[in-house]
Amino acid sequence: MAQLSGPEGVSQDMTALASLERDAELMLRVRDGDETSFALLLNRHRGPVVHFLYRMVQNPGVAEELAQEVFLRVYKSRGTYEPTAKFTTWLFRIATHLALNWLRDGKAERGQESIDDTGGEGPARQLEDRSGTIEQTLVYEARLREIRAAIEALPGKQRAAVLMHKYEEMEYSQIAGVLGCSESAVKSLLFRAYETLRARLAHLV
Amino acid sequence: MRCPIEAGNEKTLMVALTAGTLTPAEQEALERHIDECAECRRLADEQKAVWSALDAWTVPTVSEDFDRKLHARIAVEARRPWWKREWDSLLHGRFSWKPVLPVAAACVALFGVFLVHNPVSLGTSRTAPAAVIQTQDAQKVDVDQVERALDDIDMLNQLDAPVTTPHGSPAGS
Amino acid sequence: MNLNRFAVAVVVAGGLLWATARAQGPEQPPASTAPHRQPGEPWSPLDQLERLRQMNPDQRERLLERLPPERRANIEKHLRNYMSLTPEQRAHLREQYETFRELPPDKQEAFRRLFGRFLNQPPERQELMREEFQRLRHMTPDQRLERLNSSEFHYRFQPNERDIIWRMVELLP
Repeated sequence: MAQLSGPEGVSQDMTALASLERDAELMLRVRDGDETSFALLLNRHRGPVVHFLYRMVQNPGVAEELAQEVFLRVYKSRGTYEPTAKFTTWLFRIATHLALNWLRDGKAERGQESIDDTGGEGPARQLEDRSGTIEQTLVYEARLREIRAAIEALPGKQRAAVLMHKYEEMEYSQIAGVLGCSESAVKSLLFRAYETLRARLAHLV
Repeated sequence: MRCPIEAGNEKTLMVALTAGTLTPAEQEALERHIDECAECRRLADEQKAVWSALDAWTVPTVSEDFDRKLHARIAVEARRPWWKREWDSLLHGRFSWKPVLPVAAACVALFGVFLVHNPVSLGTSRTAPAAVIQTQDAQKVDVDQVERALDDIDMLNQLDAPVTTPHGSPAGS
Repeated sequence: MNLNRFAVAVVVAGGLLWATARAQGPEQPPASTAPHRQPGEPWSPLDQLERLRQMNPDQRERLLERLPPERRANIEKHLRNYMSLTPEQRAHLREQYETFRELPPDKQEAFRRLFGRFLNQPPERQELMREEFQRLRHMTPDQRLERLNSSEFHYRFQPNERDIIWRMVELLP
């Protein structure tokens, strides 16, 4: 039986079984004291949350710190968890709040120094690198800078809405639950965001 | 199909087209229209370009010690004195004050009855429940923030108020 | 002894009331159209505003009584206006406010200053400027640019008014 499918090693057979369990059911078990269920939830959602936060704050170190705060708050709140909404809605709600607070606190200015700091991952690896030539690498780096700058120029909620819509493939209703607004407000946010992105990125094709 | 730009739903449809959330029939109808309509084609191409650009933005992998650090933070949290954890829970609203209020009210009422039969010069018990309410609510209401929010909301409301005058008065009239 | 009977009465009454409160179930979020705050989330200004709105007059009085009279009058006036809106109107304003809050602090401040200049205009001019502001906000960037350069826009508004309108539109996302 294979072991260690993730950094903390949840065996693959348990992961397969757990994928059949809904998040809410797992979280209710966490509420009842089951630590293994928390590990399964962490394994399932660690990546999406970190990646979402990375694209929000554009700093890998900060993204991981905020992601840990998200899961810490989930863990601390386990005693009163009630499945009134989808688990991922709750999770991304906490993540979005933390990211928006971080951005609003102005730490983004300090983070600007590390906008090209990819925590050991070269910028070229953040784009699908089709070739090893220096010139193409430079082109990719330039594209990446434009993409990151375009996303960073979006107001916080528009940014969050686009990232959830594009990368998490959330429906409007779930994004509305995360952002605490109506579906029509989400559509308005998204359409304004995509309009801005079209103006900035359409030439990249 | 009617041109989405004329119908006013071009944004919805183009985003849905690139996100792949249209039904097969809707997608086919839209793509047929795009073939014939230059404006819609331009819009669709731009939206697809954005989608491609965003697709190309991959992210660093999560660090190997993420879980270890998280569990370390959980362990630190668990080692905090119980009163600090409870205070934190109070601030974040986990603990429900609901059962305490009726008890406080009952105690005050009974104490009041006791005082009627055994007068003692204590003056402030009747304000205790209100002080508790004030304290617990004041902890969660930052008046400065609320004041600023109300000012801003009033400002936005004034700008959004329905217009009542007719059009066209020239400048300076 | 009176004190013993009193103590027993408190315990019995408190126990009965506690059981009643617990039987009502865990604390539910306040019934409001405000976004439901889940455990672990910070209290936003809107959450706090909703909390203030749902307080009874005594609680609100105790929260505001320590403020200087002008500030208190301002908060009460804006809160009355806010509470006189329908739930749908409040929800719409909250959404607008959240959008406004996304602006960097310096741009929020710039917008407030522009609004101050707006309020200095005569009421009939404010009405026209408000109408234009609302019209421009619903346009695409290209349409806005066209409108800005139009003779009608120049005819209707003085330079100062055009500056206020245009800069406010540019600031709001």
